[in-house]
Amino acid sequence: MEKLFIIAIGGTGMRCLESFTHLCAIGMFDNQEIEVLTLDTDSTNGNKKRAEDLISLYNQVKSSGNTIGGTPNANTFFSAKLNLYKYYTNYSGTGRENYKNITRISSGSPEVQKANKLVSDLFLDNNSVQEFNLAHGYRAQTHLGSMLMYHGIVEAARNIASGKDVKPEERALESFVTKIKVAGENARVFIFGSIFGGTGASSIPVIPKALQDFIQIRSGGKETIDFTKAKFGSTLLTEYFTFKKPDNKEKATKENSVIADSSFFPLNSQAALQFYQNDPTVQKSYKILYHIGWPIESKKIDEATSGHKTITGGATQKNPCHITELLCACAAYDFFTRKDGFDSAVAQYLYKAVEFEKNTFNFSFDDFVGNNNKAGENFANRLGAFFSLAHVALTVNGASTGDSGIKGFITRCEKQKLTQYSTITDTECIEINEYFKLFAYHFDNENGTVAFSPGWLYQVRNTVAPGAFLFDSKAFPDTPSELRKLDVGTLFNDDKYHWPKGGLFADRYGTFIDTLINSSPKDEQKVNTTKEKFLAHIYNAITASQNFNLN
Amino acid sequence: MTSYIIALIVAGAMILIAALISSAIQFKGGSHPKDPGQRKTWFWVIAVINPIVFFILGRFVLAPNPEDDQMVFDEYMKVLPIATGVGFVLYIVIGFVLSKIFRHGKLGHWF
Repeated sequence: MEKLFIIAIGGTGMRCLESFTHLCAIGMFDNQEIEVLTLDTDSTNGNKKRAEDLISLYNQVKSSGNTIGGTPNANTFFSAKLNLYKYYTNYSGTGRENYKNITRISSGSPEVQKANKLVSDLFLDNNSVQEFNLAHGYRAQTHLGSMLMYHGIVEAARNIASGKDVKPEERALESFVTKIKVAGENARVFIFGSIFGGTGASSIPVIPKALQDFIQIRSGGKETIDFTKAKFGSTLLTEYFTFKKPDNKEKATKENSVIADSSFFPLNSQAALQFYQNDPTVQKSYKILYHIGWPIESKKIDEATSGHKTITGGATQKNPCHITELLCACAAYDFFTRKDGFDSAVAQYLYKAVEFEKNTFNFSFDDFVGNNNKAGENFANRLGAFFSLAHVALTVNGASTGDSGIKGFITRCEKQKLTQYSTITDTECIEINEYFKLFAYHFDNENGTVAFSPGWLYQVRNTVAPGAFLFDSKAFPDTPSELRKLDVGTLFNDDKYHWPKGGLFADRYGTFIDTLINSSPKDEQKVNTTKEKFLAHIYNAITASQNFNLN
Repeated sequence: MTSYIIALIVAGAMILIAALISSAIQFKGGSHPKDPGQRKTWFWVIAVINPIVFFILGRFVLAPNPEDDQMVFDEYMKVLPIATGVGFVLYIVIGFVLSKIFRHGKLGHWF
């Protein structure tokens, strides 16, 4: 069986990881235990924290008793088990703040110093690139970033080999890379990151080679990762968002002398694509590269913020999710589930187009995962089922406004004399509610003002609205009055996937409850704990109600 | 005997009405859904209405004319309250049995 690995790099990589985690939550990766590494230069980055918190919450939802993170299941929600590893290159200590300090350019004999300076000045601008603060990433300076990311990983390997001053994040990296090495030819490693920004763009070309060298250095040359066996894949994600252009005042200090300028993102993307096309290391180390881009004008991600300052990174960098990130997650799905295409000695490039008419995109389920083995219908069924359950928790049972959500649904089960789920605790129900809030929506109550806050799916849909996006536009209400009117059984565009209306006096939700009463978890779902059985039971009832032809 | 049969028919009709009302009440969400209580309330409201309806029906519509035969009328009036009680009990017994048969459904909320 294939062993799956994900590496998420930089802000964009983290948001792709968010989308990937939601694909796991809807149940797209049955029977899998997936190792996930977050890799950044910025340990405090908001997008990184958001992705890591999401996986932690995912694992809490799957945990029961002593089984931390749960076990892999099939044909149910949260079916994959995710193991999270966190690594970041440390640029916070004294002497590690910028390129000049970290490379100790001014140490050694006068001749060595002179040679260091000449080589550095040849590639890197002396006053800006060599001296900006690295704590917020590589700021679109990919020539510097590739070198430093490689250096960071090799430095970690050397520390581990020597056993001196090994940091927890280096141990985490070691555990992750060792699993790739152990998996050998069964390893499928997919890397998320952009090619137009800073950290991801810097790292994607060097990561396979850096991990290979990590294993060699740590083992004293006895072990390696064989690129002809282990399969690496990645997205070539070109620019799809912009932000405010930094002004000269912002760039006045040396540590902020370089700030990524989104007006250069198209140029960065073009240069990166030429590089990927020609670089022999990339060609040799990757099996499949997925072209993903945004062919129309990019949206400003900081349009709604009032400040004038460009956010370079840190805890405040929490960009909203975009449909291209979901497409990247679906590229990982393709890479992990495909049976062929790995025989070529050089990287293959894959891409597809989506219908664009009257200035809007029209996405269908097949656009995301293809239609082999009814993948599109499976994706539609699972995403629709999870979205319906999110509305059942948030809208019907009021979790978005402080009511009990999933606990309320369990109360419903009790009222219908289905008491087998009554042992699920309030805390466990709150964790599931919290996951749904991040997935769909919630209401923030700040200083007495209640404001609608879109979750991942709402944010993704906003990037293509008013174009068609998988579900009926009525499935995305954002005011309390519209939410009260929502019929959770009618989320799809196509009527044939609506929950049955039932007979005289019946409604769709009532018919769904009847279906729930008459269904149960199955052995092939491999569910053991009460919570797993509960989720599998609901999955089966919604699947039956949606009536997709999955066989 | 006719009174008892009519009591049974009326109880059956009332049960049918209670079942239709229970089905028409939609499932509600939240930690304290009100719909089970509403179904139970309607069941008992109709349980009270059932003997009243039967008695009124028996007394003013189905009762024999005392001017035709006073003895038959007196006999009938003796049986009517008993049949009313029997109808009330029948309603509850049928309701209880249905509630247990459909214990997972909406009728399960009656008991």
